[in-house]
Amino acid sequence: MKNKISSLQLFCILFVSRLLGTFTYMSQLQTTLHAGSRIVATGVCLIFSILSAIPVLLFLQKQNNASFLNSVSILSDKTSRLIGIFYAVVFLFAAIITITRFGLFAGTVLIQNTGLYISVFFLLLVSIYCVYQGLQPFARTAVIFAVILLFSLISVIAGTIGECDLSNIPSVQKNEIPDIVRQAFFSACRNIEIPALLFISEEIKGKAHSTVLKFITVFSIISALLFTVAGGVLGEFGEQQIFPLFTLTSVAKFGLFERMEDLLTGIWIVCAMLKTAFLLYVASQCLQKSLHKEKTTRYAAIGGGLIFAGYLIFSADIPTTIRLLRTWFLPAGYIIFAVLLPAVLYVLIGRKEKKLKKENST
Amino acid sequence: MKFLSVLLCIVLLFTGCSQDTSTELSNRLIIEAIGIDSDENGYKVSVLALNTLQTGSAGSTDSPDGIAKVFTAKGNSIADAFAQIDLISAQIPLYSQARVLLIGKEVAENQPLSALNFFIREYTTRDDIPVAVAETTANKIITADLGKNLLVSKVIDNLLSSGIRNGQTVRVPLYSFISRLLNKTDAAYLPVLKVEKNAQKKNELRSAGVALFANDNYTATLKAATMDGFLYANNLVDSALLEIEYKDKNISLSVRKIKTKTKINKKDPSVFSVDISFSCDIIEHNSMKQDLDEQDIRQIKILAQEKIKKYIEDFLYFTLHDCGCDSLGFGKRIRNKYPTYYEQISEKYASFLKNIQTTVRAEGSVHRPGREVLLGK
Repeated sequence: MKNKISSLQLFCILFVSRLLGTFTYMSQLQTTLHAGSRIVATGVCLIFSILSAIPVLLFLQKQNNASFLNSVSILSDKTSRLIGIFYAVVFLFAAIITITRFGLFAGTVLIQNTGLYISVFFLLLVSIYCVYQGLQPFARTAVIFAVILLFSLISVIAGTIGECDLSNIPSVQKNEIPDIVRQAFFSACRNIEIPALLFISEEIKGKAHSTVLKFITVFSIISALLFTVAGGVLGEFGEQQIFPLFTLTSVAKFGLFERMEDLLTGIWIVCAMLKTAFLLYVASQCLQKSLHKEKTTRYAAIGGGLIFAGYLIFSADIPTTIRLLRTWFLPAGYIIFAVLLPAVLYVLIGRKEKKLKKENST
Repeated sequence: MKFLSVLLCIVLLFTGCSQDTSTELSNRLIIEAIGIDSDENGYKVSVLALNTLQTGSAGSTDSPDGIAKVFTAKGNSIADAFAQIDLISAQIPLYSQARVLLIGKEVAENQPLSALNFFIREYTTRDDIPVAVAETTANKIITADLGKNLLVSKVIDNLLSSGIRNGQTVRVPLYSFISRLLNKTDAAYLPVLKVEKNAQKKNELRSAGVALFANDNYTATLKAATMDGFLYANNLVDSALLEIEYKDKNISLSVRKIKTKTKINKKDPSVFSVDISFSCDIIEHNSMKQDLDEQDIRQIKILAQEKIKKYIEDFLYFTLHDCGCDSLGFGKRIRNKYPTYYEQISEKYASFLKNIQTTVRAEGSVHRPGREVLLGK
C-alpha cells in the first residue's frame, strides 16, 4: 500500500507546479493587456479557476479519494481504458508544453548560448526516477522547494517594493473588459494540476477539494501581488520585456544580494523538473491503470521519451508554438478534459450507481 | 531519496555546460563602464574594462592601464561596435558587471531610446545599470585620469549613489529611464556629469545638473535651484543641505525625512497639489553668540519652508511653462483618474501643461535646534 501524501504536500506540489507558469509568463506574446488590467484579470481568473474546478472537486468529494478510473470502470472496462489513455495523452502533451515553455524561458534569459537538449534530457531522466520513487518522496521534495520558492518571492518583493510607484499602473478601461475576461479564461485553462488530481486521489490523505480551493486562492493572491509590484516598478519597461517577472527579479536588491535571478535559476530548474515529474507520474498512472501491462516506471520511461521527442518538435519552431499557445486550441482542450468530461462522467456514473443500487435492492 | 537529492544537484550543475561559461575569467572582458557617443556612421562605443591580462599586481605599475583599460570602437550599431571591441580585445565582453552606462550629449539629443535598444534586448546586460549623460562626450569621461588606481566607473557609481544623501545628483537605473521615455506624457531624466580641472589642476568628476527628456527628445538641463526643486518634488533626496539667511546670519540646515505627495484635484484634472514635509537640523550658524531662542527657531522653520516651496514652484514653472515637460507624473495621475480626459489631452500634452495649476505646500519641523534652545539661554 503506497504511503499517502498529506494536504500540505499536495498544496506544495500544486503551488510549485503552477507558479512556474507565472514566472515564465510572457508579456505581449500572450496578451495586449497592460499591468492594471493584468492584475484585474488575475482576480477574474480566480473565479474562473474555481468554477472550472467544480466537476473535479465534486468527483473528489463524491469518490472520497477513491480511484477515478475504478469509478469510471463501473460504466464499462473499455470506457475506463479509453479515458485513461486519453488523459495520459493529455498530461504528456501538457508536459511537452511545460518543457518547451521552460526551454524558451531558459534559452532566452537564463542560459542564452547553450543548447538545452542535454539539460532537458537529464531533467526528464530525473523525472522518470521521481516516478520510480513514487509520489511520497516527490511530495516531500515539493514541500522543501515550495518553502524556498516562497522565501525567494518574499525577498524579490521586499527588494523591489521601495521602487514601486503605483501611478505606473494604469487603471482599467471599460473597453478592456472583454480582453480581461479572455486573459482570465486563458490563465484558468492552464490549471492542468487540477484534473490531474483525479488520477492520484487515492494517494491523497484528507480532503483534497479543500486543499485545491486554498491553492487556487493563494496562487491568485501571489500572482496579483507579483504583477502589481512588477507593474509598479518596471512601468512601460516591463511591457517591453518578454518575461517581465524575470526582469523584476533581476532588478531586486535585498541586503547584499543583487541580480537575484542568478540565485533563483537553480530553483526554477527544479520547479520545472517537479512539474514535469508530476505530469509524467500522473500520465504513467493513467496508462498503468488502463492497460495493466507494464509497471509504472516503464510507462514513465516511454512517456519521458515521448516528451523529449515532443520538445524537439515544438522547440524547432518556437514562433509556431507560441502562435498555437495563443489560440483557443488549449483552452478548448482544457474545457473538454477538465470540465466537460468529468462533469459528464460524474452524471453518468451517478446514474449507473443508482441503477445498480436499485437492482441490488430488488 | 538520497539518490534523488544527488541527482537533483547534478541536474542543477548542468545549467552551466556551455562553451561560454567554461571560458576562463581572463578570456572575458569584464566591462566596468560603457560610453556611447555619436559617430558619422553610427556610434562610437568606449568601454572601460578590467585588465585581466596584466601580469603582476595592480599596484606594481604606474601605468593607468594597470587596473583597467579603455577600448574604443565604432560601428553602425551598438552591437556592431561591441563586436569590434570583441575583436580588438580578443576577449568576450561580459556586460553584466558594468557599473554605469554613459551616453554622450549628441546621442542624448538625438532620440536616445534607439541607442539604448541594445541594452533592452540583450539579456546579459543589467536592467538596473545606472545611466548618465556626459556634458560633452562619454569617451572624455571614460578615458579621464581621475587619479592613480582610481577606476572611473567606481567614481561615477559613488557619485551617483551619493546624490540621495547630498541632493547634488540623481541615480537613474536603465529600466526607470526607459519606462519614462516610453510613457506618452512623462518626462524622463538623467544626471549630467562632467570632468573638469580643480584648483590643483587635477581631473575631477562633477555633477552638471539633471537632463530632462520629453517624447524621446533632450529638452532641458536643470541646474542649481530648479534641480533642487526637482529632487525635492520627486522624492529623490533623503537628505540635503539648505542655506538660509536669518537676521543677516547664514544658517545651514540639514534637511531630512523629506516626503512629497502629489495629488490630483478630485473635481478638476488640471489642478494639483504638491505637499512636502520635512525635518531639519540646525547644523551651523555663523555667529559665535549663542542667541537662538524658540522665536528664532520658528522663523527659521518658516524660512526653510518658504525656500523649499520656492524651489519647487520655480522648478514646476520652468518645466511646465518653459520646457513643456511633465517631470512630476501629472499625466499618469490624470490617466489613472480621468482616463477619457487623458485621451483627449495626451496628443497636445505640452500645451496642456501650461494650463496646469499647482499649489505647493511645505511643512517642516526643526528636529535638532541646538543646545541653546533645548537648555535655555
